[in-house]
Amino acid sequence: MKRKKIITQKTAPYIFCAPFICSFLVFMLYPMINMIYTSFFKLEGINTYNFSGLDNYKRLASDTHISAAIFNSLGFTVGIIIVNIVLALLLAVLLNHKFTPLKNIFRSAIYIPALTSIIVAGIFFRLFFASNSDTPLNTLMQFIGMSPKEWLYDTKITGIVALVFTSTWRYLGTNVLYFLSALQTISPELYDAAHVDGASAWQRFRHVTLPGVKPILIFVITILTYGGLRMFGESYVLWPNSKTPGDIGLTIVLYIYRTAFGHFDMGYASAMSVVLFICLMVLNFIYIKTLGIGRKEEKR
Amino acid sequence: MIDKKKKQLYQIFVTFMLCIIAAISLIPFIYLIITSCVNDMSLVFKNGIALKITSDMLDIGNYKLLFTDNNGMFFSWFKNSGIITILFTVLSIGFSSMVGYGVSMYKFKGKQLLVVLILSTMMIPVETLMIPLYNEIKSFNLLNTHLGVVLPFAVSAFTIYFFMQYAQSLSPEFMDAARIDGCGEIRIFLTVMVPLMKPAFASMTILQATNAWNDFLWPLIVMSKNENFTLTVGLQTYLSPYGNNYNLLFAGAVLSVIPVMIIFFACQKLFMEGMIAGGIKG
Repeated sequence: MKRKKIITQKTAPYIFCAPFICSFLVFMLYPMINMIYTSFFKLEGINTYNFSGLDNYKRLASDTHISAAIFNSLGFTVGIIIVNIVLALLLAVLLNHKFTPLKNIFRSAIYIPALTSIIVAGIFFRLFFASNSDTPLNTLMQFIGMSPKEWLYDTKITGIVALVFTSTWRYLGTNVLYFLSALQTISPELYDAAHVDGASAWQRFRHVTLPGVKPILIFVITILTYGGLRMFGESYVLWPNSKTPGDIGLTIVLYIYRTAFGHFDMGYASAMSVVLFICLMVLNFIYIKTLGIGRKEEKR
Repeated sequence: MIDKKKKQLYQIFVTFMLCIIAAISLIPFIYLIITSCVNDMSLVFKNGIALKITSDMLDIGNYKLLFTDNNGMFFSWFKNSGIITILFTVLSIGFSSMVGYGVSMYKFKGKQLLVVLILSTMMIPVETLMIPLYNEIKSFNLLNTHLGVVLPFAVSAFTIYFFMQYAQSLSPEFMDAARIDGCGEIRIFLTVMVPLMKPAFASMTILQATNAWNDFLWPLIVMSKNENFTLTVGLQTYLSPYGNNYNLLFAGAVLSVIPVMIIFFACQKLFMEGMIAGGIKG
């Protein structure tokens, strides 16, 4: 007698996919619904929540911390995009050039910071951006004729500079790797042909290199945008006790974290998360629409 | 002749530039390692980065202190980070490879919907869901447990996607051949397909392990008792501007980087490939 198999070619895919389906329902869909529900409740007193309709969302509009946090997060995002794209692309081109010596050693050296946690980076950069006038950075400032700054306490802009620097230190190497992987797909014959046609170095970059890395360029801009808007660790570790006086260095996620786990106002924090979530999903949608996720892998 | 001169000039200029960038990348490590051996940390605290360090200030006292402080609390953090990293990596790779393989190698009803779900959850960040997830983990009684840190993100859409992409390059004929030999579907996966996907497993293991080891926000939320902290969360408690925790902070930070560094230098090539593939987490 033939035993009937339960796992057949028909049922097997559902068994293979079960972990994702379970995890999606339990750790994604349910929390999402729960978050939206919680966002309609207002903290009154110490631990009582009352239904308050859209009050939390109205409060968002008038909260000055929010506008500061959005300013910082957006500033940080624009900062890391510009710095990372310019530096990473430049370094990748140099590291891909056939005359450049010791490529592998430089590549590893630039990449090593990506192995550290934000805590390790934070320890160093907190000292690096310290207010003393004799730090190397402030010495350099005086050298070029500017006054030393209390970077972490001066203005929101200097705070953003410190955040961008810390973050770039950790992620530059990874972005260089992306561009390197794209550059390696460009055929050297294209450069030779351009050379024969008498194209200058800039023209070769403009007409051969840039089109060749365009998919990765869009990809890197997208993950930087996305990573910038959700940034938390950098501002948590740069300011002592993660206090951000005058909202210098306060980011959106840090503010949500503080509201939820410092003031225990889960309702208001949920409302903020819902809005952030929608913004990121819109970005996500634009990303999928404009370049299609995964073109990077197909490119390789 | 002119070309040769040009080449040399280029090389000198480029080497100089790359040296500066490499120095910026490495100086923080060198600084941390040297400073972790300074016995009088009040000097570091007072002078910060501008402190001139002389050799008579150095010894390994800070590391000794790390072993004895608070009954070796640092090492329970180290252990927690290790357990969480291993648990997370095993679960994540196991589940994700299953799902990725299942989605890409079979035709079935609802496949299209599943692919759309995987793609659109790929970019949902932990940060937006931290509040409801915290409440959920709390109601499961998983706060302050390793599982509480690991479970919510064990099945990551990104890792699934990576395996999906990889499995697409495999030939379905292997599966048919195995079926004719009387192999069950699960056995086909385990004995035929998993060995074929070895490179994908290698890159993803390294990537997921590094991410788990360095993760900060979620363990910070789940773990609230000192003895349950992971390394990143624990070290962060030393970052207080008061008191002399700097001794422990610097030595601990150096030790926390060592395991990742060892893996990095042992399998550099795999590491780089994994990172390129794993960009999305960047």
